[in-house]
Order: sequence, then structure tokens, then C-alpha cells
Amino acid sequence: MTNNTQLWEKTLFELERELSRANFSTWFKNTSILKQDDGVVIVGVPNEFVKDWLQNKFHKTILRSLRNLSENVRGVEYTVCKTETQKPDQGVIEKAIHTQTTELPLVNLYTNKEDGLNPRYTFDDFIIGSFNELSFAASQAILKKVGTNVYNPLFIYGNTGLGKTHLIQAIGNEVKKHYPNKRVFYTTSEKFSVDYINSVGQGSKAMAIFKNKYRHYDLLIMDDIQFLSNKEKTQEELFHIFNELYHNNKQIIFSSDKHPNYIPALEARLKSRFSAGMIVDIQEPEYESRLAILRAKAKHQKFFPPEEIIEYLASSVQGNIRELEGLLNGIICQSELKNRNLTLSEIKPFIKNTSKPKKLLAVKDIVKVICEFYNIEESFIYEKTRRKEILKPRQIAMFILREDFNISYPTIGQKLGGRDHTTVMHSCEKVKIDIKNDLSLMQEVDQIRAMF
Amino acid sequence: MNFTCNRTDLQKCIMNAERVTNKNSSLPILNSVLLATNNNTLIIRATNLEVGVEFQIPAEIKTEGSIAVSGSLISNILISIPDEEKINISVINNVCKITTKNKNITVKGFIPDDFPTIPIINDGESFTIQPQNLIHGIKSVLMSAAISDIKPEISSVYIYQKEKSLVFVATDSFRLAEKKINYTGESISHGVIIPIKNIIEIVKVFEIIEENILFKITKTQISCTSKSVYITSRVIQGIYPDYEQILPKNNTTEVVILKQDLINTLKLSTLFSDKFNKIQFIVEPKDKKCLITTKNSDIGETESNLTVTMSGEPIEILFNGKHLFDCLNIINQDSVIIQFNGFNKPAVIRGLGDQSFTYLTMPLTK
Repeated sequence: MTNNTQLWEKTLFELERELSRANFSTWFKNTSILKQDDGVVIVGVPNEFVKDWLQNKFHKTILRSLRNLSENVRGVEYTVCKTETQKPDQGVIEKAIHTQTTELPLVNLYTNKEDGLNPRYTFDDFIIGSFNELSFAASQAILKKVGTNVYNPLFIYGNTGLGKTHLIQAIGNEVKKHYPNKRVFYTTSEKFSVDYINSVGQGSKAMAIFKNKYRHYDLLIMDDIQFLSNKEKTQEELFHIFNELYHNNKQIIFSSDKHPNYIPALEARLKSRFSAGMIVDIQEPEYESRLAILRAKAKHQKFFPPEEIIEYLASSVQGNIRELEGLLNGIICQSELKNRNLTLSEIKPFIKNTSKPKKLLAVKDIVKVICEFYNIEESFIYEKTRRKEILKPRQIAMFILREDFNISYPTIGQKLGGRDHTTVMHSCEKVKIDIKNDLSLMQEVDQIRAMF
Repeated sequence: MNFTCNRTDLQKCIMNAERVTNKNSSLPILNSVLLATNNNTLIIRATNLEVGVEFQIPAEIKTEGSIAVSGSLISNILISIPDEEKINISVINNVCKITTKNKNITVKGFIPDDFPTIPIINDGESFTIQPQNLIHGIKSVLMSAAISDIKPEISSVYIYQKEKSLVFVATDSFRLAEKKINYTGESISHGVIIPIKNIIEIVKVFEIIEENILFKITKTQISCTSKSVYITSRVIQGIYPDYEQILPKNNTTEVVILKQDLINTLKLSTLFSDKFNKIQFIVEPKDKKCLITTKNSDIGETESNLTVTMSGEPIEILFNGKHLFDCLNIINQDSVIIQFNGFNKPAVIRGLGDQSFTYLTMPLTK
């Protein structure tokens, strides 16, 4: 990078001596070397006018100067590139004029229609901790060799609000930056299936366009793949597109909130293909990462709260990064309103309000829901029967009471027909292990949990 | 070079070309226009390295050649000889001799080889459009574009195709105008963002033209061609915000008002508004009351009662009067409909019964 800048600076220095001042400043303003490719220097120019003129008038002079400085230069090419016109000072002035008007909320809407990527998502503000370092490493490997690496397809899964979309969009943006010729496309599985359904409705020509569209990308990123469950034909189409891209060494990246094996009603052949490359999960961030994330977000918003507040937030709010962000935004808003930093005691009730209400349900009600789910008489649960169809709901009830409602083992035992606490412990362990091996059990438990 | 042509034709083209020249460039050739002959046409070319134009007019050519002369000088010369019909220009050793029936003028020129070339677009998408449609579309939104260069993508007009219309959009992030023009031509896959300064030149050039315009679009450049004119401009290589997401889908309060009434009221009210052109709307559908008030501690205050039809919730909201006023000149209908969406949400203004033009403006906070 610096090499290119230096080379161009020296070239400009030579050119400046040869050309008139006016000529030099008109034609070489805002030019730079974008890259060198096998001895061909690619010069970025601000517009087509300059490109034409450099090509027709100064080509020989530029080439000669470059050769003098660097022996392996064989040719020069010119491309029009975006010039960065960042003038933050003026921005502040303009803002000051308009303080009384709020802006239209356009800031977050700069998504590129061509590739669906939001340029806001970059690796610059991506925070790496132990919770996501594996997925980050995989994404870096992809950036080195797009398509032809062992991480194809890359499948990233993790709970909502942990930065999956940020990561995969950042990969897309980075690939676009480093390989301008690669065609990148980001879509969500929902958009994909809408696109598919539309093309089905419009006859064979539209179908052919649809098929071709997805096949010519060098990097296809599909977000939230779990929504494909139950959409059989869309899955089939994805399967064909997948095969085509995979065989041509094109990179594919998926994200989902579950491991592919746990996505319900997903075809086996898709599952096996997802598993062919690399499956990584993003865990919930641990304390240190949460701290780093909060600091970065606060800095980004130009808000500098006392360290103790950040630490308190990081320690009291677990899990989801999006919730962390929401809380921080709330605090920023509050302190802007009061025009001073909030104290720790002011923040405490605030967090209490916004964090999820604790589930408070009577044991009886919980048992009732579970019994209804399995369609058995509620009273059986409390009886001393060991019939299989009763045993399973009872164990699941114990498991859920313990895991989700944090009730002690002895209490659970006592409430469910006066059982010993070791029985309860055994049941919980058993369900925990069974869930890992038994897919249908896992789904049942998920469904029951959704009812509370 | 030696040719004879009609003075009015030449003057019209030179004046248009002269506007494009770069007056402040350190490179003197950039404030000149190029005259060149080609078979039986005279080519007039000018550029400021943002926009390039080229006109062709018929001329009687004795010897071929080319010359670059100062744009402002030659256009002033032509304006000063309004009685002459024919004009003869000959060039020897980069000195340009202008001869008419009664006048002999000599002008020093520049070496034509130093004159910049104008990019010609050969690839990319193309479509045709009638000049009056193009100009109508652009002029409808032009006032909403940002003037400053801080965010190049919004100091521009965005043009794209949506179903059977060509959509023109401009916003300065405090208000937004969108105009749809019926369009049934070739499909355009990607929209194009044209800097406001350049699009004004395009409008001015095509205001005097009636033939259809052929547009060509690439990622870096657009060109518009008609029979005798070629104009090319840089485009912004950026992303236009996905503004459709902020267009409100429903509203809380709706007011229908005679346009002329509103214009008169605004004219009065803005006399008393402060430097932010602050005006206040008070709408109370239950009491059938709609007021516009302004207050300026140095001058005085106004309160106007308007005859309107209204529905929805009562609202008191502040707007920039100039922003409201701007869009009323664009609306052709006699009545306008204003839809409020509550405090701190943009209001939508349209001509009654006209969905092709949409204007969005943010309220003031205090």
C-alpha cells in the first residue's frame, strides 16, 4: 500500500518538472496508484475526462517516469475510481445551521441495490473475542482465497443479536474491496424465496433469468437460512444453485440461528451440503468481549460514560449484543436529556426495567401446559406411575422447571408428587443428554419452551 | 480553417457551450470553446472536466481545421453583433478572423491539440426519452437536492426505472422529492446518480431541443445524445439511500387545502418567520380548525385561519416554510393534500389525486 503511494509520489514529482504547473494540477489532482498487477500499474483517476486525456496525451510520459523509478513496470492502465471527499469540518458547520431540523432517517439506508450489502458493516468495527474468534478466523481464510479454500461453504450459526449478519456482510464488503472483479451478492433466505416465487408466477423466461442470476456470482451470501424450513421447492432451487456454484469453486456463505441439523423440515441433501465445508458457531460474548463491544459502540456514538458504568453494564447484561446496544442507546439518550453523565444508581433501575421480566409461573401451571402438550391427564404426573408416556413428560417438566425457572431440586421433587431430589437430578441429566442425541426431543422441548 | 454559418445558430450553441467552460481553471484552455469542422458541419465543444458538451450546426466549409477560443469572449462578440445574419470565420496560425458584412474582428486562439477530449461512451445500457419528459422529471425534484459537496450522493438527482415509470429523486436529507414519469422504453437495470451541477447543464442544453434523447449509462459516466447535441457527465459512484423505506405508508392527520390559499398564507407567514423559516401548523379536526402561525420577536406575528377539509388526530407541528413553499411550485393541481404523521415524523405533500409527485419534509423540533 505505502509502496504504491510512494511510487506515485515520486512519479508525480518527476512529471511536475516536465509539465506546466497548470497542466499538472489540472490533470493529476486526485490521482493515485490503485494496485500493481504483474508489472501493470493501475492508476485511479477521478473521472472519464481525465482518463481520456492521460491515455491520449500523457501516457508515454507517465510510463517513462514509472519505468525510471521501478524497473518491472510494463504498462499503465487507467480506471475511474471513487474519490473520497471527506470534509468533516464543513459537515459540522452545516449541522449547526440545521440544528432545529431533524434529518430524514436516511443514514442507515445506504444498502447497495446491486449486491445487497450494507457498507456500514466492516471488519473495522468488528470486535473479536473468544466467542467469535473461530468464525472470524474462517472469514479471514476466505478472504485470502475466495472460493478455493477448505471453508466452502462457510456456515455460521448462533443466537440472534450476536453479530452473524455483521460478520458475513463484512466478508462481502471486504471481498468487494480487495477483488473488485468478483461479483458479490448478499441476500436473505426470505428474499431468495420471494424472488423464486415471483419468477415461478411469471413463466419460463422469468425462471431462466432467476436461475442465471444466482449462478453468476463469485460469492453468494445467504442470511437467516432457517426460514427456508418447509419451503420445499425453494430448497430444491437452492440445492441446484449450490451445486453449480460449488462445482465452479465459487464461495458460498450461510448463516442461521441453529445448527443445520436442527433446522426443522430442511432436506437432508441440503443439510449434508451445508456440512461439507466449515460449520462454526458464534457463542454469547463473555464479560471481556462485552466490555470491548460496549466501549467501541460508545466511542462510535461519541459518548464517553464513566468506566464504572460500562463495567456495570457489561457485568449485568448477559448475552445478546443487540440488547447491549439498545441499553447503551437508552443511557446515551437519558444522559443527553439530562445533559450530564448518569450515575451508577440512576442506571441500575434503568437496566432492571429493560431487562426481560423474570418468568413467574406457578409450578402447577407449568405442569399443566406440558401435560396439555403431551395430551395426558395432569394428575398422572403427580402419581407414582412409571408408564413411558407419563415418565417422559414428567422428566421434561422437571428439566424445564430446573433450567428455565431455576427452582431447586428438592422443591421440584416435593411439588411433583413428593419425589426425592436425586430422582429430579437424574431426570434433568437424562433429558440434557437425550436432547443432544434425539432431534425430535429437542424440537419438543423447544416447542414447549416457546409456550411460556 | 475557413467557414461561413448562420449567426443565430452559432450564437445559441456558443452561449450554451460557454456556460459549461471552467471559468476558474488554472488551465486557460478550459475556459475556451473548441470550433472544429467536419464535412459540412461545424462542431462546437466545451468542457469543465465534469460535463462535456458538443453541438453540431450546419456550415458552409471552405477549408477544414479547428481552433480553441475564449468562450466568454466569443459569446460576447456574437451578442454584440445582433444585426448580422451570416458570419465567416477563418483561422491562420491560431489567430481567428471573424468577418461579417460590416465588421472585421481578430481574436487570438489556443492550439486546438491542447483542448481536452470528451469521453465517448460506447458500452453500457442505453434508453431513449423525450426531452420534455426528462426536463419535467428533473425540474420537479431539483430544488430538494443538497447544494454542498459534503455528501456527493445526495447533492445529486437519482434516476431509476420502477415498473412502468422513470423515477427522479432528490433529497438534502431534510426533505425529499420524488417524481414518476410514465416510461415504456428499454428496461434499465441500475439507477444513475448525476451531480446536481451537471444535471442543471443537461436541462439547459435540452430545453431548446425537441428530438428524442438517447441516454447511455456506464458505472462512471453518462451521455445524452440527440440529433445535434452530445452531452456527457460524470456520475456519482455511490449508493443512493434506499429512500422508499422512509416514505410513510399511512398517516395520522390529513389536510386538503387549496394550493393558492396555502401559497398566499405562506407568503404572508414567511414575512414574520425567523431565520429557520419556522411556521407552525395547528390542525384540530374536531373543532374544524386549521391555523398557520408565525412569530418573530423582532417584527411581530401572524395567525391565518385556513378553509380546509381535514380528518384524523389533532396536531401542532413546526415546519420550514421555505421547504413547504418550494414544492407548491411543482404541483399542478389546484388542491394539495398534506399528510402528517405525528411529532418528529416527516409530512407528505402531494397534489390532490396525483400520485406521481411525492414530497416529504421533516418538521422542526422546537
